[in-house]
Amino acid sequence: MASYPTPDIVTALAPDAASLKAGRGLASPGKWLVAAGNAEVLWGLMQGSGKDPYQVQALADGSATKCSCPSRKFPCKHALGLLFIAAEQPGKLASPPVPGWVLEWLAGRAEKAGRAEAKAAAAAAAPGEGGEPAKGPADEKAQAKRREKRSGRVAEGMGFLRQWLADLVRQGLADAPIRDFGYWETAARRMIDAQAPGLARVLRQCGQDAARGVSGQASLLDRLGRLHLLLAAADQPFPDDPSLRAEVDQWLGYTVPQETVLAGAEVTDRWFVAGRTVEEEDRIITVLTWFRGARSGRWACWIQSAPAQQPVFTPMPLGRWLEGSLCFYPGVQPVRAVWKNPPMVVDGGGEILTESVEAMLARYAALQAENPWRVQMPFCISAVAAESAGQACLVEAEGAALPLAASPALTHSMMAVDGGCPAAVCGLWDGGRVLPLAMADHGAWMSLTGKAAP
Amino acid sequence: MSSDPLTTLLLLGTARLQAPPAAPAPCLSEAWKLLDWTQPESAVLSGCALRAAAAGAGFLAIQGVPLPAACPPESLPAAPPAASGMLRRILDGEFPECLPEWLSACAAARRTAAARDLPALLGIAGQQAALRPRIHAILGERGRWLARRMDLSRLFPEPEPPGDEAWETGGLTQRVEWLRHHREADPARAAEALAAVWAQESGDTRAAFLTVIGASPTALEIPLLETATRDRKREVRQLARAALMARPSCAWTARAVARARPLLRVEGMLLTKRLVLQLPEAFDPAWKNDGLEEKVPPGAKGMGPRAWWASQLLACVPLSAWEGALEMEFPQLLRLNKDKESASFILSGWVESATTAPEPATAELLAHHLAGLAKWPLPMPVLTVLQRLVEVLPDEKAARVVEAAEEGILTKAAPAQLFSTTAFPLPAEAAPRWFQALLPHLQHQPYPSLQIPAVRQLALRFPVGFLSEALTHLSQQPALTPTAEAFARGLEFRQNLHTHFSDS
Repeated sequence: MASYPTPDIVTALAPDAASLKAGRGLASPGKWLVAAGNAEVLWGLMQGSGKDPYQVQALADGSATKCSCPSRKFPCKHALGLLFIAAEQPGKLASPPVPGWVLEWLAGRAEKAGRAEAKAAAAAAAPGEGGEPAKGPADEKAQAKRREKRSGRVAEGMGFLRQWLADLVRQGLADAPIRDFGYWETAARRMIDAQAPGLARVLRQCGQDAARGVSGQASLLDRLGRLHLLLAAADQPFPDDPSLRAEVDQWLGYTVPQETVLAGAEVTDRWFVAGRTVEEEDRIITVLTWFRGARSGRWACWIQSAPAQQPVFTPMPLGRWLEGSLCFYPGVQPVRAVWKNPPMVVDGGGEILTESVEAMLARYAALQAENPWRVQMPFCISAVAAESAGQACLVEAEGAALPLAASPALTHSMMAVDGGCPAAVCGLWDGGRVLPLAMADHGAWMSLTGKAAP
Repeated sequence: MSSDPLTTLLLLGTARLQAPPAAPAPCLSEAWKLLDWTQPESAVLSGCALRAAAAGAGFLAIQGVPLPAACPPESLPAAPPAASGMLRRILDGEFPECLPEWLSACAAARRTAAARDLPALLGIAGQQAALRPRIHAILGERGRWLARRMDLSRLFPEPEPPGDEAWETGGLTQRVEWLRHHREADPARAAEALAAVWAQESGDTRAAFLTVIGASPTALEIPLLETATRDRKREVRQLARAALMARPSCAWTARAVARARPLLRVEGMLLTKRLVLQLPEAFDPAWKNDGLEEKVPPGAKGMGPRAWWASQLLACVPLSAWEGALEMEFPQLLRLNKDKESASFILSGWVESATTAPEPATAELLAHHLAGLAKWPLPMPVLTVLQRLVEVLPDEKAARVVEAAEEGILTKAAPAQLFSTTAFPLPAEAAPRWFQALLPHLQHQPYPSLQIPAVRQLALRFPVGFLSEALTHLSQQPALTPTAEAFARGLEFRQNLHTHFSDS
């Protein structure tokens, strides 16, 4: 029997509620001229308003879809309808020979994957300066000139920011109009102009802390301290520590080309999909998917971004195991990574490794010593959700507890699932509380971050 | 404002710095000494960075939090994942009207709700009292354990009898439960307790207590009920009257029969034999003691005072009592009710009697009689009257009345509307016929005669065994209107719901 996605996974693929509703409306085999599938691919014909029916196709695991309808949503309602049929009524799928237009699509995908692999291999074989792909002499000169120009702008921006921070501290936060969003936004835009978007992001986060008043005060002061540390580190070349240099550059806002990352060291493992968070900022939706390697024990985070009108397609099902290679970004104890090739979903990966609270806190302390700017660290422990003096917490069997950032409704959901017995919980630790991601639920995994996709 | 010196310095500003603040924690003492306070702004920010790193790296796990007691082992398996998925769609608002059916199907399959769905179901139990028994049936050990932890056990009263404090100081739900329990266990005590508080209770509370008495009052409750027929709240008067009419042997009912007996007589011979109503000449003030009203209400169309009094007098008599009084069976009385002057008044009174204190046999006879008429004789709309009669009948009998109405009095477009205004589930043998009767209304262009919300309720009433056949018929339609589409989706959802439970 083919391994089709579950209805929950198909629901998570829907770009918005309207598409989900429309897809559900097409989840009846009777509405399709053809609804068929095998272990590898699903396909169907749906009569639209035009003369010719729409050709709809999807990989059997739901990781890719294509439809000839004019919809700009991805996946469209037709693809969702076909996937829902596979998820809920697989026995009703026909199994005729695969038609030519489907075979053509599969062949095109295979060819594209081959080209991407060849490109990455070529970059690895002949890297250019700074790990970038090799280019001609004219390109290199222009590139060097652009880098120099940018470095100058960033340096100028950092100089402004140092002075701005010093003025703020001299004047005192109580006197400054820090609750005014424009106060921080003006400085953030200056950083954007200086081509240091990382610094702009930190300033905007400071603004959000400041807007919360007394409750955000501690976070604001910590963030200002780390910003000061970043500006100090930015001036250091760190010739003996390229990882630290790369880490600082990324926090400033320098991006690393994906080709460079793919050409770097890779970790091949069986990866557990441990959690997923969705953020929206400035009409850009960013999905962070967290993985834990079964053999390496490493944590990884894959980041996908897309405009809000064209939502991200996230095929990684929570609680499943994927076989594949992840290439990590340069840095200090990096977690951000990209897939070298699309991973394969595998069955029977076993259970995710957990660690004790003590070990997790020790690991966090070690991380802070090496990388004080990485505030959130992924982890997985075996614990019970509980409430103590009005505060939600995760309690280990041995008695150690961690504060849990969860609403009463979420805490009750976790209590219901663990039933008072320790269960595997994946989350992010930020030095003071747990931000829950997902937990084991009787053989499946339950997301603790609300809707896992927009 | 925090009393921490570093924070205070940041808030006030280094321009007011008098002396460098001390290290915020002993572990930072050595690093603190390296801060250059000749550049106080940089030193303060560096201090913040050190404090942030120390706080994060030095966090100590909380100790001494007691582990909660684990929930007892489950004796029943959880609902299958596909069925649980459907519950989540219901809870997300996709087919909320299917929740009762999902709960019943889960209980019938001897399953419990999945753990992750329990908090939402407990929340619904808190808001919808009517669903609590069905939710309680599928909670399982984990659900009951969670209810205790969420302090929601009060929603599901334990089988032990409620203590007297429930009656004396409890909320209405608890007091009703106390009354229900004690009416069975100690009727005298229940009647005494009720009589003691009756006068002080609100109208809604009095109505709730009479609902408990229902159609089975004890002899001890008769005096209270007679008092309640003169209550200032109409609902209480109606409930009291219904309870008394359910005891033909009680004095109140006997008075009602004696009052009404002279009103009806059979006159004529052979073809002219008919039932005739003698309107009362005057309103006897004593009738007020039994809850009758002298003044004609605005809603009583076409009735003068005497007809109004007669209608009330007839309404207080159980229909079966006329068989003894006039020495004729009720169907014969219905046939003889053909006097042009009085037939409609008699029918009004009988309809009121049948719907106030239903007697299944006579109510059904009356409903069939009305449904089969060629011309409607009553001022009240036909759908209103038939709906009231159908509601008091068992499901199968209700379906037969509606079918009879379609062939009789409702010859035009009304059967579907009558069906949609009632709530009884369709018996299996009636389903195919009713589906065919509904289909033209669902597909009517340009505007279907039924609206989508009503259609979604209709989809709930077809028996599970008929769903597949109905969906096959619908799939064979060349096109479906949005109304028919909504109907089909409702049927399909129900079919999948039951399939997921039966496949497990």
